[in-house]
Amino acid sequence: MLRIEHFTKTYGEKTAVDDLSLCIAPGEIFGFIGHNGAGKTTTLKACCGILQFDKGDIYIDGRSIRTDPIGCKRAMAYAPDNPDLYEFLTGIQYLNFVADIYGVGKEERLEQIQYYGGLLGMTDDLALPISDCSHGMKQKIALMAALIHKPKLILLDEPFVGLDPVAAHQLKQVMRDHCAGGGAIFFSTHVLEVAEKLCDKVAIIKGGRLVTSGTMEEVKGQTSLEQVFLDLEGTV
Amino acid sequence: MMKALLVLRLRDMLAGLTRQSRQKSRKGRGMLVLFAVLYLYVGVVLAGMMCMLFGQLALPYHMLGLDWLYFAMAGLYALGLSIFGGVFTTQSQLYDAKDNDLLLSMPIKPGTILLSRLLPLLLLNLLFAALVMVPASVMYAVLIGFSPLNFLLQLLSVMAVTLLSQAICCLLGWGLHLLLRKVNKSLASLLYMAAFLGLYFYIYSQAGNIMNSMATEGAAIASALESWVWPICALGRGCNGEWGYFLLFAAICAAVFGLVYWILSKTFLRSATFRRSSSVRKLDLSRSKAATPAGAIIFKEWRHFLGSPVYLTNMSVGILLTAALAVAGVILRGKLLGMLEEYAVLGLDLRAYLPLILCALLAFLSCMNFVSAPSVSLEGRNLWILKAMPLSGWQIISAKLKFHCLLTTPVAILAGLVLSAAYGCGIWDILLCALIPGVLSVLCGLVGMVFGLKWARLEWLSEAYPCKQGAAVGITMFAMMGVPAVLAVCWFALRNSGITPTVFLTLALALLCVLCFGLYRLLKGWGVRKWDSL
Repeated sequence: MLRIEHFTKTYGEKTAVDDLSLCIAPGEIFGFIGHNGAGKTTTLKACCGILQFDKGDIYIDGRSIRTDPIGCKRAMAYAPDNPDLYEFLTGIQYLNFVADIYGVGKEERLEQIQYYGGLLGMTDDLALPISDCSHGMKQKIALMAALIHKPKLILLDEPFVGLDPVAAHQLKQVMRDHCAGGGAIFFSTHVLEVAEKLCDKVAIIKGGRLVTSGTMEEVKGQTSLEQVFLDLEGTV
Repeated sequence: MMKALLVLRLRDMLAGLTRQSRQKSRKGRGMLVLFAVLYLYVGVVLAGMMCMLFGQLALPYHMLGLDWLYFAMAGLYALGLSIFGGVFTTQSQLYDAKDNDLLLSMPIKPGTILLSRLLPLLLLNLLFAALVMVPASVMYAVLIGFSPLNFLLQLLSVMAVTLLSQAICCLLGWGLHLLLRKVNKSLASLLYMAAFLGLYFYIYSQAGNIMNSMATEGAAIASALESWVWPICALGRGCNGEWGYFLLFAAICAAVFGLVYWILSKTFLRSATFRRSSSVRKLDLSRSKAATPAGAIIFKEWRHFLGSPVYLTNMSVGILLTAALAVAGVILRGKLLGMLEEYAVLGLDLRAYLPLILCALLAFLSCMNFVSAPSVSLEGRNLWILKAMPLSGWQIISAKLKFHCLLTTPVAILAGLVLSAAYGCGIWDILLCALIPGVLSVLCGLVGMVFGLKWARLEWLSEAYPCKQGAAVGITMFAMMGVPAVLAVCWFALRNSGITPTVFLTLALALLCVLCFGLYRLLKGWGVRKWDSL
């Protein structure tokens, strides 16, 4: 579903991500772990076509993001860590805007909005202007917008930040359901317990370079993910 | 601490004028120089206008022995200009800055934050006041006589006027902020702009009478000022060399500014952190409608336009003025046609030039809409949304252009049709009067989009920056002022060659179409690449 090949991104003289290669198959929840500034957000932004990059290529469902960005973007969705949304729209206007761009029909979008609105406890709040929403509410709207067109691949940057416990629980369920239906999720997180319980595969990035990746069992072995991460970071 | 805050403010202001993101050095400096030249140009034009204005007053007042009144009038003009120029900026800089929460969370006194915001505003007001008072002083020195002491007092008075005008701006800005809690921001701003424009045009239309009154009724004005606005009288006398009056006026200004600063610093925390209470709304999903991607972007742009007072009021003045011109032109048709008849009797027959005059007026107003110019920068932190969507750069650029044209072109065309038909132009001239403003409004959109992409500034604290201080809007404004000016120069160069207004306008229309096509092609190629690289 997502294949990253020798991805390299530099900002001036600083190499943010260096020769990263990963592969995420349909049905997988893939966790992306690293310290602040390790290159997680850069990788996610490049995968969804927001950032242009220097070397390598990224394939979404067999299409290259370089040569067919629009085809790739149709097949996926992205929710950033800081949900900066259009504050001059209401929640429902924003969701309708996203649905229009992805060509989601009226009936289908209403069904999706009602389902996810109910699940995340947002239905009534969608009538509010986004400027009046809290960070968590904006995060939920961004998640609903990411799910509204039923993408095959979902890219999430720190999706659990700002969510209340109920919404975080529901999101985990949504992620599992999505992958059970043949979709894939690639997400970054600092919450290692969540990653350990939720992910089928995990990758750890440090200073822009991939340190380790594989199934959860392969990466953590008999210890915990937290221990592996701290060992790799050289903290203990 | 104050130094750090001031450096932050000045950096922010400079970043607003130059390129913004990660590209620094030569480009940034080049932009700074370009902006310095542009602002210098505006300054010279305004100062020239003031010289002309006060040149007419200096001698009559001097002959009446009312030299102080001359300076009092200059002070009043300076006060008016700086208050008008500063109210909205003061309101947005003091209360709408996005870093208010951040700074207030730091161990900084609210009064210090307020002062750090006020000092750059004072600088801005000083510029406005100097634009009026320095030319007035220079004209007085040239026409009446120069005294170093008086000139020094006049310069010091500029600073005192600045304090007073800033204090009034703060009070009005505070009032505006309180008002905006209760009413829709965009609506309030629109009403303010309409009221101001109405007042401006009233004064402009009465300018001749006002100037005559000012020149002939000096004694009556002097008496009124002495009775009712004695601080202004003190300003005039101070500028005329009376130290005591100058000190009195300066003390009044300092006291008013100090008092206003004290009141605002006591209420700043509450005012700056106020959030409008949101009413409970019921979600009505049945009203959701599906639209095309282009329709969705246009709807988004429309909501942004309506939801942003600074965008709404600053970028679309031309629409309002074009509509007002059409209405006024129809209402005053009989009077204006009568005037043309009178001119014809006197040997100056302008009737044959009516299409040219109408086109010139409408062209000038059509070039005052800058909806597309800040639209890329206004994406700001939301840029990721469009970038992550399955939209080509051209889909986004063309939707933004369409939005600009939908807002501006129909009004321009309609005004051209109505005015040219009302004034009895021929069918071909009616077409030209409708098409030229229409094409110019499209050109304005294209130029704005080119410069908007070239000088996109995505990091800002307030929407006032991309709309008012961004390079894209400033350069689009000057470029579009140049188009009617160049056409006018061409007409004056060609008029003796036997070319008729209709032929000239047809050629101008063809030229504008070619320009539009060139810019359209540029946007499809370079523009899309530029969007992709943002």
